[in-house]
Amino acid sequence: MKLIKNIIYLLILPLFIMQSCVKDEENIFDDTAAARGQKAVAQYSELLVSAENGWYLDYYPELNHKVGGYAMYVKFTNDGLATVSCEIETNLPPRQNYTSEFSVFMEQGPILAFSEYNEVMHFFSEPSQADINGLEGDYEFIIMKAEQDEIQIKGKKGGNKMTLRRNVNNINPDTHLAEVAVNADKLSSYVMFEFVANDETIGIASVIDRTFNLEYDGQDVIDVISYAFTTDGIRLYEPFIYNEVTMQNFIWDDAEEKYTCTDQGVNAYFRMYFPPDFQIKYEDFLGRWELQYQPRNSSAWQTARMDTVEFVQIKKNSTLRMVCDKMFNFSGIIVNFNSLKGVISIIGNNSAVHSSGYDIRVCPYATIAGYISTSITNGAGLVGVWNEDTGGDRIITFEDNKIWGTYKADGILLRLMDSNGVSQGNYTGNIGGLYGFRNLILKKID
Amino acid sequence: MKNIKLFLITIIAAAISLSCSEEKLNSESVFKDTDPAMLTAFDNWILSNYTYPYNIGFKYKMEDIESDITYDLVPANLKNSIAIAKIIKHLWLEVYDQVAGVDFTRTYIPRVIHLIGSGAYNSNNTVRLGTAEGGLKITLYRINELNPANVTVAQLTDSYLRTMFHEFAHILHQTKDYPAEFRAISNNDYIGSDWSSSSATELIAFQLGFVSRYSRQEPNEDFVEIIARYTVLGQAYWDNVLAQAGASGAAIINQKLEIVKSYLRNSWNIELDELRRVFELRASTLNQLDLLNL
Repeated sequence: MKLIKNIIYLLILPLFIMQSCVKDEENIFDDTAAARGQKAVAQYSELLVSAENGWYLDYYPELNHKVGGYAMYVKFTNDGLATVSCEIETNLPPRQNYTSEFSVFMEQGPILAFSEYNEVMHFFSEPSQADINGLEGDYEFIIMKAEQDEIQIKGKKGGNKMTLRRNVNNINPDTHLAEVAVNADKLSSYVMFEFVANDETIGIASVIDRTFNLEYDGQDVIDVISYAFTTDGIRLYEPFIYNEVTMQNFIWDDAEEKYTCTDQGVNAYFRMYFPPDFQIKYEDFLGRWELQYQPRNSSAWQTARMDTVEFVQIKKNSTLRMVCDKMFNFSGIIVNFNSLKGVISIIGNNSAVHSSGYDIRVCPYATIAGYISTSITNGAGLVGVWNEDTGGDRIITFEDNKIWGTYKADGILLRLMDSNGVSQGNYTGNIGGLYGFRNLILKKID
Repeated sequence: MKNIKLFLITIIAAAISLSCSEEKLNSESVFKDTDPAMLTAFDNWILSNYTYPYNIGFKYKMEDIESDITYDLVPANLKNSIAIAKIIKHLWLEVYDQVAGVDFTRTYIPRVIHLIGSGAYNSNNTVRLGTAEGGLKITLYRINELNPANVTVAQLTDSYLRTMFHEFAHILHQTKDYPAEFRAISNNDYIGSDWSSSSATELIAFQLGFVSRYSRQEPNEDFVEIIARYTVLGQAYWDNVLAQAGASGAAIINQKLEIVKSYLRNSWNIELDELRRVFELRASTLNQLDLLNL
């Protein structure tokens, strides 16, 4: 019995040993992990440098890409330097480039790092006492996926995903970034859109920085969709999926005032939206109006009179200029347009530069109390109100916009201001020395 | 029976010998040296001026692994890194060389100096100028604020140099502790992180016998602030502190200063006044340093 037991044990034992050692584990890769890492680093460096015309990048700072992206251009050279420029003003003026070192190395994954200070790139990361986190932009990126013409990277700290796109058509970066900037400037005055997919209105998107905050009809849900401007529209941070339709690229249509999705097979757009209480479109302000007003010179307010004024475009959906050679012997005063409400307002601003070098400043004026507001930043002033009861006539009266608070503006006064913002007295260069205007009423001339 | 056993043993032996062959180690190291061709002129300058003579790694390119991830920071720019490398050598390393001998400097100097372009800003309205970690590393912040074309001693002592002397003094007391009696002097007036609160003014700090607001954090900071400020800010500054401190404050400051002086003398064979004299002498030749070129 004992013998049999011994035999069994002895027979079983080698089975274990044989089992365990029969096969050595085969290496999946030919090389060691370290060697492969080094090889990858060399390959990524080569790929980056190989783009002789550089790469374009929608750069997304801030956590959760919450302010949207900015067009950037990066060119890597094999002396380990990267030249970076950006569509917007950084530490340098827009589009001016700065060259500093970059490196590619291995951590848990391959890293592309801008490890030496770059006046453009690090603008988005720079902290200060007032803003201790800065714009939270990354300058170290994990290389997620690299193809010949596209490298996907991810911010190491903030986690925003971005794509380096090879400048395959050799577009001059200065020209390209300038076009993006012009586009961005033009489109920044559109602040509300309706989102339409497959001919059905899905919701209303309000613009905050470079994001759509899309509020779905009848639902208490808001999707924040970040985007960056391109030369002819916008590109979303990541594909936006609605009802299994995936969209990312949109082109701007000036005539229709909408972003149309250009991705294949998609029928969707964001079109400028007019809220129910919207009054008058920007375009409808342009042209000639009758203006009734009461002027004053250095001695007194005078009786009301009527002149023809013309509104000309400065920036669509944002600003206009009110021109009238009977009132002003300069280019006229700047009027703001609120594209959400469809109303105009006259608030404190420097409308023109006088031949003396001083600014001609429009100052809200509380004429009876005799106080003026000389600020050009607080937004105090007059707002134009269209009383729709006036039987089809577009008659707009101006009243205090309730920002000043202390006093109620009922007119404006023109002052000369030096470069330090110090008053140099009233501007009396107009015909008759008129520098104060109150009780303004506009009436559209058809 | 015997045959069976022999048979089995043979099988086992065969199984063992056949089963495992030893894998040879690859003769090639996975750690590759940096390609010398990739070293810049400044990298080579650092090798000859910091690494070879002092065994210091001077890291001017920001490495996030070396930096404090809780802060948002940016790297130092190249031209300022060059300037600060020259300044630290002239007004810090070589001051200790001259006063305590190059062997002292080599032995106790931190192994890594790491430059950061921005400040490390705290939400309580304070900003870090520098940190020392375990005697191994000194991190200097706000390098990008320097203007290499227009550097004054006052500007340097007010920030970078005071920080360097401050942090190195930490290394000294972490290596050899100072007498416990020092801790007892202001025991009731240390207030931790409240030192930066608006009610803890500089004047109150002086009057309580501290040379700065930050000294009130804890005894170690108090101790090193005395060394740093006494060395780099000069006699006129010091006299002004004593004057503002009033009789009782000045008495406490002087008592602490004596402990500091005798500690440095007895533990390190360094005369604090000599350290200051050499620092001031070298500072007077700052304008002879070419901070714009290597």
